[in-house]
Amino acid sequence: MIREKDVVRLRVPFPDISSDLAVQSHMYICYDNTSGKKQLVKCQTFKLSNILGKNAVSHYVREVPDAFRNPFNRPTLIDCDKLFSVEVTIPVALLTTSRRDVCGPLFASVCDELLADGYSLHEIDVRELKSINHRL
Amino acid sequence: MIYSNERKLALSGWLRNTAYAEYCTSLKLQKFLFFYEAFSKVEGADSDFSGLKGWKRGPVFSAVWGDYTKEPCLFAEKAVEAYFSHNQLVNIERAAICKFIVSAFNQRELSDITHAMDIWGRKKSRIESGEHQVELDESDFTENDEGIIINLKSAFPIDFVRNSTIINIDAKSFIFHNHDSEKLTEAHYDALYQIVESGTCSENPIYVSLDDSGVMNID
Repeated sequence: MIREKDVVRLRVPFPDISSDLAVQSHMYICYDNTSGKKQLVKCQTFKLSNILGKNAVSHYVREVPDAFRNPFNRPTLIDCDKLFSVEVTIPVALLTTSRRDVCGPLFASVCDELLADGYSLHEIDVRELKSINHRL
Repeated sequence: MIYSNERKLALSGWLRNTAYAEYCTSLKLQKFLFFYEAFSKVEGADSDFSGLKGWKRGPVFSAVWGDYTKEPCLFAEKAVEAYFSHNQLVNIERAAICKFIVSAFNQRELSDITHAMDIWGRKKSRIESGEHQVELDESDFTENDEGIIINLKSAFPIDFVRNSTIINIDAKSFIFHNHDSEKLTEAHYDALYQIVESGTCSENPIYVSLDDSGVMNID
């Protein structure tokens, strides 16, 4: 079972394409696993807008790959404007492989940013998740 | 007669030799040269912003632009000659990263990057009013500009660049690990085309990894 600070990779289908050879895939940090529903924080690889400092999100944490801190293999923006909620058991098989979690100080930074001005809550469609993440 | 200096010729020759498609796009050649000089400056190495002018789509080394457009064959010949005779003028790692950057973004995005930099931005009103040949000053390369270059360096470290392959489809750039790109089939390319046509892609660059079952996981 996953726990707070763990990082999982979840996949969702691309809308409107017929091929099953492509899925959208993101890492999520487990923020809260106590209420029956998991609350996850989305991680996004650096895009052009991040490079230009024009982050579309107000609260975020930027991280470069660092095996002592995170499982990322590319510069990453952790989006702290939103929490994604899902009511499903996420198996440890979906944990990131280089390390299973983020370090304490990084998680603390994420929590601070989430709580700074609040966040919006988004539901992840469990059926969509299960259709692609066969380990769920 | 060619007016570009040896440094710009050598860099252009390197790009022509290693990334012909990018060399053949005038804007991408100019961005490559500009980023190379910007990276050089940030890294504390010799840089050369001489002859840099501001145009609507960003900074342009005007001697290179003139040679490239008016004497394309002679420019190409001199560029390749300069690269082979003076290859010490080209820091290969820096050039590889700058080449990668101009491949990873489309022309509009590359212009967006240079528009965000003060070396161009401080002359923006003159440039956009239609004034021609506005000289850009290296002294206008600010901490903001340094920050953008540092972000680019952070996003595209040399090990990542060496191990990555970019696949461009229309204005979208998909970045694969070299090992994954070798396994792509026609069906994978069909899927990528569908994704581009559907308009659901996020902004460039788009990072893709193949999982064990051959499915492309797209970030």
